[in-house]
Amino acid sequence: MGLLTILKKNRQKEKEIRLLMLGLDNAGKTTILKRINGEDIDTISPTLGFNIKTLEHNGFKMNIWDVGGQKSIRSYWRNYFEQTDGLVWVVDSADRLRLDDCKKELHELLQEERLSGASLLVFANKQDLPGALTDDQIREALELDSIATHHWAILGCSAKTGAHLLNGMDWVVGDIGSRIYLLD
Amino acid sequence: MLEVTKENFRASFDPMRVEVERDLDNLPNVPKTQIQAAVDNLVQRIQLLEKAVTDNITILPPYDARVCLEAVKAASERLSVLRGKLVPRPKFSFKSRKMVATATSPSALQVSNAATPAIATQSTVDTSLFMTFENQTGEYLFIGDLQVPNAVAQHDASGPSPSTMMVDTETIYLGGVQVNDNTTASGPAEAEKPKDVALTNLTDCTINLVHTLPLGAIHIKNLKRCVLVIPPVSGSILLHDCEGCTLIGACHQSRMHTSTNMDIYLHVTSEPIIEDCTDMRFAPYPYQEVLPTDQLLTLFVAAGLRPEKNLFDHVKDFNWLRQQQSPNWRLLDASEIRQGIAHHVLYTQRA
Ligand SMILES: Nc1nc2c(ncn2[C@@H]2O[C@H](COP(=O)(O)OP(=O)(O)OP(=O)(O)O)[C@@H](O)[C@H]2O)c(=O)[nH]1
Ligand SMILES: [Mg+2]
Repeated sequence: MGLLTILKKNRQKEKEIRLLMLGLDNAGKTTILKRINGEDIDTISPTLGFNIKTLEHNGFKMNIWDVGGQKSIRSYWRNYFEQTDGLVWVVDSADRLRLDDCKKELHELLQEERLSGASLLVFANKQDLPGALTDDQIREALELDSIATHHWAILGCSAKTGAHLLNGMDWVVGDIGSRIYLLD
Repeated sequence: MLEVTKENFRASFDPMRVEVERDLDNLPNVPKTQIQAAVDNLVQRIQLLEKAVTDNITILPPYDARVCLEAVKAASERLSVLRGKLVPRPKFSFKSRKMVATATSPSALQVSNAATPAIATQSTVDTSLFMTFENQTGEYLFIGDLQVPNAVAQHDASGPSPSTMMVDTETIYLGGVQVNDNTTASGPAEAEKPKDVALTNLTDCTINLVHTLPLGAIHIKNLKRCVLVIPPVSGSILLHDCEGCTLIGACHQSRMHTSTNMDIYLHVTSEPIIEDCTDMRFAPYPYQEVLPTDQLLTLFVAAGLRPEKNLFDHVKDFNWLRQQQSPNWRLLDASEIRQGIAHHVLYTQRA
């Protein structure tokens, strides 16, 4: 029995998925997490460490890790890589000034060996803002089409209105599920 | 807000629940173009119902709590089934590819290394949708003098460059002019959407952003010795590379970076943060100087800001993760607070 098979079997019992949510500061990660969880989103402070929430979705238990994106704490991101099934990369679609930063950080992450098996969901957040770039524009700006190492998808969403958040979760859970659990 | 008691909880919860159930019944009749919005709306309302129960769980009789939570769960399950049936699959763009057996194939990683361009290409993004002031010295800058980017044009890829419209400068708040008379050309729906502002490379300028125009995030970069007044905004104030400025602003989040020697008069409903900053001094927002209370409250409400919650003195320094006070910031003493500075910018200096 190969390593992958054993891994698969062990996880099959719990059907647990570990999602790591990253992105530049102010992208809206914590707002997305709280919105999905039905919590108040009006008084969220910038994240100094991390938040974790466990949610049931389509029969899976999702552990979502939301880690702060301020520059001085990005170096801690790597402490959360282990065992990650899905990376959720959140983008402030209206923050045109920092798209290059955003691209650089994402592509650096994708070279991380410990994230190499993870599915990548890009949330083009803040679509409710009139100045927001569309998902296609973000896809181009982040050069997603150059990614050959990960399954990926991009979806426009708004943490403010809740639009498309669950669709994104559907995709990432489905993609991970089909790789890890239903492969036999 | 009215106080919730165990006696009146059901009286407010049940009608909301009934409305949600009614809208769930009606969901199959909603036109296709509106189904996503209707579902989003129901998701939010069901979340509110759930929150109402969980917030009050300690005061509710166990029976009520159980009944209400079961109603929430049932509604949420029904919605999820209906959503699956009724909502067209969203427009995803994704690239599928054969799975790389990463656990056994380190070569996949090398491909990834090689494929990532080492040189960052210049972003070709159009920044014209920000309302922008940049590269000025010694000027008085008023947001009412700027053209408002028209977002409708942006999504129309076939059109030429985004068209613009002028803000009607008669609708400004100053001097007791009407508050709600917003007569911008694009109609209320577009005008109500908050616009993001960028302020870059300004020296010795006075910047006045107080206007009827709803503002979202304020992106500030490289300001020297400026004074700026920002009305309640629905997004964050994001500041980089500033020095010797006085900033007066009200926002959801305040995030300040690589700046020094700043006086900051703030209303912020979450903990303000500083990163790589020194000599930052904080004080409360000078409410009365900016606008008469009723007009200011209107702006707070429009921006979704809680007027009674101000955490200006709960500053978190990302470079000082210890219990003791950070050496990089302090509160302004009462004697140091410069009375009248906002008023001067908004009224005296403008005239
Ligand atoms: N208009 C709009 N604003 C949003 C949306 N999502 C988040 N925001 C705002 O963006 C700001 C940042 O949100 P956060 O959730 O704190 O961002 P974050 O990614 O967790 O930031 P860090 O914790 O510093 O990494 C807040 O002012 C939010 O209200 C959205 O969909 N639309
Ligand atoms: Mg956060």
